[in-house]
Amino acid sequence: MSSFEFKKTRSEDGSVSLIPSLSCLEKKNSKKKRKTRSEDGSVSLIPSTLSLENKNRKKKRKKQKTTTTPESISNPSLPEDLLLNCLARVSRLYYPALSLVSKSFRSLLASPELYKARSLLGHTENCLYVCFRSLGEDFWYTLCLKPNQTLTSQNKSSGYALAAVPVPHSPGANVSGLVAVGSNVYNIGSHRRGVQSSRVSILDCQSHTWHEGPSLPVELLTLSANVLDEKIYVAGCYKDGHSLQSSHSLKSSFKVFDTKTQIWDPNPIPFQQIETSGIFRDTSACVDGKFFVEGFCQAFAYLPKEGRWDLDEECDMWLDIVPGSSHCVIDNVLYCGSDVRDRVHRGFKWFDVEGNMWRDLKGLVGLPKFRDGAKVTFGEYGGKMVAKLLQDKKQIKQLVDTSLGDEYNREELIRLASTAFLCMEQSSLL
Amino acid sequence: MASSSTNKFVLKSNDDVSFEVTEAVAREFQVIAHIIDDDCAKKAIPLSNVTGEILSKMIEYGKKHIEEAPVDEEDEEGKKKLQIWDEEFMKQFNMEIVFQLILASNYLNNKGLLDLTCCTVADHIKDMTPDEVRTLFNVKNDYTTEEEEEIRKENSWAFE
Repeated sequence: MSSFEFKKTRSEDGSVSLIPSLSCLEKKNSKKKRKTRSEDGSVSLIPSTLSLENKNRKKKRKKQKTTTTPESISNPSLPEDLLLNCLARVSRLYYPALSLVSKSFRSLLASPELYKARSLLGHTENCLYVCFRSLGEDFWYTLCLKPNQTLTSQNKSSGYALAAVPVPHSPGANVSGLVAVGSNVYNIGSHRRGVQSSRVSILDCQSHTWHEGPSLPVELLTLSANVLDEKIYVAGCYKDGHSLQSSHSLKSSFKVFDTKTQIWDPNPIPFQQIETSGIFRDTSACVDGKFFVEGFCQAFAYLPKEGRWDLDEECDMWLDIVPGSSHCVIDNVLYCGSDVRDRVHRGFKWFDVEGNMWRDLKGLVGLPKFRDGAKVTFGEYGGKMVAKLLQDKKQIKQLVDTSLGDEYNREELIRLASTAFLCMEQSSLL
Repeated sequence: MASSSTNKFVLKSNDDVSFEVTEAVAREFQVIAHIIDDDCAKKAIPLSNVTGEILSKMIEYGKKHIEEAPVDEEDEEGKKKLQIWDEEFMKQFNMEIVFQLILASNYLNNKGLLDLTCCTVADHIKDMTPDEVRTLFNVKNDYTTEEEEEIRKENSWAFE
């Protein structure tokens, strides 16, 4: 069975973590925000009645065309800039299908000019990237819609699919080090021949090419990366000295990378508390403008605004996360999904900061029951939760609308035919 | 400014149809606004790239957007009303007319109408097959059968 892991990050649009100190006390308010945001975010996802209208309109047009003059057989050709203007307004979900029109269309859809046009129009959208590992090789996919699908009814949900992204020379993805900032995916500590390195590889999601970023200042054995305010926070541990093989020779490390300036912060951030109380593991999350990282049986939080660490011995955030489970932050709430091997922690949970406990996620209507041996990984996509289940070598992908708070509705179901490992993330277009 | 409501200009299409419009409506089209500013608009303004049919629709759009312009940035209701009118306005056209409107609004530089017409096209092509898109944009399929097969294979997960 292939390994199956998942990592989420968020894009500019999903910058919930930037909302300062929005605690669960304000959860009700945040739900409201969530609703509006996800209305925005779901534009590209929820098939509107537009398609129906389009269909009707199309019929009408066809009728008109047959009855009008022969001139109407060919439309005036649009110059490239106007064609770009039109294509820039189409959701990226449709691009793989539109690439089949002609060579010029294909190159236009992959051109930097198109992305410029999109950003000029303010037409940015989240884009889901999924990384599968199969036989030691990584394959990247992006969420798209199948061509000629009129998604007019709730039942016709098979329109979504993953299209392969042609990314040449992909360095091995380091799952816990994958984050998305703007339209780039950062692969911190990318793998080289299966071993984690100090390399930082950056995937430009517009040109779908990799380039090397500034390497980690120190080679880490394990690490976890997360994004807050366009800065990447990396916590991990490295081996100090050669004499001992026990954990005593491990030291924790914490680095900050500014994606704007593209440099690692040269000033070390003190964390004496951490030195004495444990080392970082590879799980982290950004909630309430803080960078939470898991130590052994403890949750550490870095407060960037105050430039200091908090050691919260009472915080139960990590204690209930089953090893191998997946977690993600959506609208400042940490969610966790774990597989069925542990019957106590099975299914989806959210962390109630105020109550310092994990609570069951209710209202997952339509989500298939996890069977034994099922694995779930999930992340955020434009305010929605994207979950991918791996059961019986058959994967089911699920979009859950978080706009309804705890009363989640199923929206889409995608069946995928291959097994592997998943990570993701969306990247907005500039 | 009082003059802009009383001043009249004549816009003349390439098939010799003349339209008398107020200065405010004429100024909705940036190119014409420049002509007015340069004081070259004494007589009728000839628009060599626009037919009478298209020009009349553009003037209808321009008039509406002058008359019903939202009071200010905060006027959500006004904006919504105009948006609904825009949608209804576009519904009457087939794609050929929409394309001509795109070209003309680009030529006369009316950003609002250009946005509206391009959005209409974007909405329209979403659900089309590649073949339908080719017909619409008047482009030839220049893929060989092998190349097309190659791309389909690349996107195999998308088209399964």
